[in-house]
Amino acid sequence: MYFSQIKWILTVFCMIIGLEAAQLDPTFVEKAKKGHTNNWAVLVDTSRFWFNYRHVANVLSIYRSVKRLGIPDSQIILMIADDMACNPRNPRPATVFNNANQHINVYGDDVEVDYRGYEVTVENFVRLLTGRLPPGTPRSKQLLSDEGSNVLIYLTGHGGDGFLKFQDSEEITSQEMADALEQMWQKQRYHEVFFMIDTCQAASMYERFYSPNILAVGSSMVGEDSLSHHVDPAIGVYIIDRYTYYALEFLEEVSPQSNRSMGEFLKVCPKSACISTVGVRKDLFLRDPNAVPITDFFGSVRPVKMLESVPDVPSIINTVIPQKSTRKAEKTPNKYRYIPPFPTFYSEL
Amino acid sequence: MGLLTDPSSGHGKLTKILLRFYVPLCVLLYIAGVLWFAALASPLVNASTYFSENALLPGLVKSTFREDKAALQYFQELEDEAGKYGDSIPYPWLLAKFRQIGLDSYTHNFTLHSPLNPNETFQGKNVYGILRAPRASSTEALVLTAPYRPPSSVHSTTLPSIAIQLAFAKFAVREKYWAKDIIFLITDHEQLGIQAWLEAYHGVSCGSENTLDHGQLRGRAGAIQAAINLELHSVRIGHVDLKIEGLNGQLPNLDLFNLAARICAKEGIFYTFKERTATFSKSPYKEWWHYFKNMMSMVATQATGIPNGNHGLFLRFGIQALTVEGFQETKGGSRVGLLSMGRVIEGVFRSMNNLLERFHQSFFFYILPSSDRYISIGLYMPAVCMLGAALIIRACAKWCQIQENQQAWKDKGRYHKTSYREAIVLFLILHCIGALFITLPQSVKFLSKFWALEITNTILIALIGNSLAFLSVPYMFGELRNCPQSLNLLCIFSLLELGTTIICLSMNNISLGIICGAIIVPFALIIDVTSSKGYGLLQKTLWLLVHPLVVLLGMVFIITCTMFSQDRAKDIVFRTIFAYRDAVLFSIVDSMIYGNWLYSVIGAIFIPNWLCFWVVAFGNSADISSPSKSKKTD
Repeated sequence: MYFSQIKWILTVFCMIIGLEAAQLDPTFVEKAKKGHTNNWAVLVDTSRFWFNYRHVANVLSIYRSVKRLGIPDSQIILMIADDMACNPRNPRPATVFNNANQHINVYGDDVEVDYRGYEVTVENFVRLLTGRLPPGTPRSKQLLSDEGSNVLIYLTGHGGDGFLKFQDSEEITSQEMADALEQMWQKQRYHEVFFMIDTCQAASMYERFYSPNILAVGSSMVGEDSLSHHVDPAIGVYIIDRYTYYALEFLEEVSPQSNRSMGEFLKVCPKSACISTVGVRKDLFLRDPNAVPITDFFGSVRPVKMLESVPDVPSIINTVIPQKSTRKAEKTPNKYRYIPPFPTFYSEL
Repeated sequence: MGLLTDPSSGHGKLTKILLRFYVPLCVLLYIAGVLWFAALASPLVNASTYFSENALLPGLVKSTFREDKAALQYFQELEDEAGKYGDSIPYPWLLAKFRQIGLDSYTHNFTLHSPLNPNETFQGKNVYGILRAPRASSTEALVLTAPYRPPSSVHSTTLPSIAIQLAFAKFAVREKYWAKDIIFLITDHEQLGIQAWLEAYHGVSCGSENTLDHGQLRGRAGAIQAAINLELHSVRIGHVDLKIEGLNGQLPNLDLFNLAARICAKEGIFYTFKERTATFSKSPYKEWWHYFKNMMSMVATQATGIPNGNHGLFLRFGIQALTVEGFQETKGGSRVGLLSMGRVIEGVFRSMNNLLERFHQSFFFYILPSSDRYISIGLYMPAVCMLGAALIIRACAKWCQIQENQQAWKDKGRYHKTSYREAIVLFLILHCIGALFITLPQSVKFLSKFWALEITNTILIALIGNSLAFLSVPYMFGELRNCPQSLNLLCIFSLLELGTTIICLSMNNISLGIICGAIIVPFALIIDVTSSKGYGLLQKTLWLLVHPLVVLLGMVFIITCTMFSQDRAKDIVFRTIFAYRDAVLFSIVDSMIYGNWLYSVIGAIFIPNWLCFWVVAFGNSADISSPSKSKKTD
């Protein structure tokens, strides 16, 4: 009896010590209060099949916007579960449109899909967020964010109360999502997160979040369906979802220099337009969204480092004037060497 | 608490209640079952149809079919060609058109050895063209089929459907969005052609051996997922009727029917189911009556198990199919041309093209009281189960009664052991007679030569002769007639068999199940081993009325009367006899060519079961009546 009590007390004690140990580095917390230094975007379409064309159009539209606003492809992780452009049912092969007017082909030449088809799984998504990818994963498939990164996470697909379906075989629950974000925070993988989700019952996905510095928006409340915006009769599918459509309408007006705030962005798609109620969660976010420029998440900070002296850039290619062919030249073969991929700036500093 | 084998456990409270109330309970179950089924037609009970399959995306695309002029030209050319070819299919012209359009075109020869006369053979030729999906592998296919009918055919022409088929092929071959191959099939000899083609496509034989030689196909596409059969009787369509009933009462997936209905509505074509549209009436009774007539019309078609169009033969292969039958405009009615028909085909095919899997989402078992309402299997099964339950409860009660009586006899010192053996042997012998009925058509070939009669007449005579001969079965087992215990046991077996059969049958073909149930159950409930001569005579007479052959005769007679109500009585009788002969003959031929199991079910189960009850009805319990009512004293 006594023994069990002692054991219990000991357990509590250990837990307290454990908690103390898990406390974050105060310098990191300090850093987190300052502004961000870089931007990342994780854009995920979780559903496949031709009749889910709109989800691919959604994610590609957001991709287009963030790229236009300045996040480079190397810092965008694009996950697309199906290849709509090459679907044999597509009457406009090799294109994906997000509007019945078909003005913008969102699947243009400059789209880099990082995870495609059956690579889009819950495991890969969580591993991507938490940075637990197997060794040898290409850089393009890694989220190499740090404590200064503002991360935009955009998800679209078919959701339910507390889960989001991936492909047709598995789902991620809201708790798993929240834990993944907490792990990101503990591993100092973000400064702030803007979590944006366009699914049915979207609000259920961010309800369980408990990590700081997350601003979340979902296209519908629990119990509500998110609806598609319109049909393209030429392609014969629902072409975009309502929330994403109005979000894009807003983003199209934004330029890298404009000073629209996140507060404004959170107000897009009122119920009259969306039919579903757009849900917002601000309690984890330390700043006032109205004071946060939208480019903090959709744009990009390009780190600029001032150099005090002009670095000596070695000439990359030896300018050899080709001589007229002589027998001598034939006897002495050219020496080949690898050109260094990037000039080194830091060697002399 | 007694053991399960404890004989005294049969005297529980439940048994007493059962024995006391089983008569009203059975009657109530029967009436409730029939009323339940009738009530299903009311819109208050059933539900509106809806799409289950997300992938279909019905009617989202803008129709772009514009080949109606080409269709008209094809029609005129085809009319000329058909005149030149007499009774055979103008296959060179059709092949040439398919080639010209740019399809892989093939012919398919098949031979039918007449199932009843091996020396007689029929030849047929199908023509088909395959449109290969431009950007997908040929793993899946859709079929657009139309029967070719020569000008001499008794059925109305279907040349416009072949014309629109060609025009649609011409349109479709230019489009790049097909994810499945489309097979354009023109069949010869009505259902024979389609059966032969399907058997050849899948490399199987469905009917008896050496009957239908399905030949070989030289060209193939992938697994067929769905098929539409077109039967347009005119280039100007007043309305189209959607037909779904297939072989053995199989139905296509409800999504396919909904799809066809939705696209027809979208293109502004007046469509009907069973020649009736939906009505709205303020009086719920009138509304019910309208839907009820419609529902019973479907039930009547489905119960026969004979497909009412070429679509019906696809269903066995897991291919969802329906027939769109277009009728000529009536005066003053609405009408559409081939443009709209082409657009309907386009819409339906583009939707089916979107499918990712076979149709599997919606119902396969349903009854339609109208084109926009359905009754699901969950709603109609209780009705049939109630009919079956009446029989099974009666069997239970009878069993308890036997136990009770035995107990009573035991108490009085007169213990009669119930002879299971005799009852079981008799039950099996009577079922062997059923096997005789199934093999009858084979043996008739021989008899026909022997009697030098036409084979059609021989079958009928042999069938009726057999049935009459077996009416004497009760006299063959003379000593059993006076053994009420054995006969009671036989009655229990028969009741259980009939109850199970009706429920099992309804799982496959609800219409057949409910019709059989509604007709037989009340009669089967009154059959008993009796000592009363009057009651015995009554039950024998009534039971004769529900002999399968008598029921068929009655139905044929009613149909003939309604169809030829103006004719004289003598004509009607003759017509009835001929129709009766043909009905029997066709059900046998169908079972041999297509594998229709109606004849087999009747031969293997219903006739033996009927004979079982017949034997029971002849039972005599005079010498040993139940001890409680017995006037005799020991």
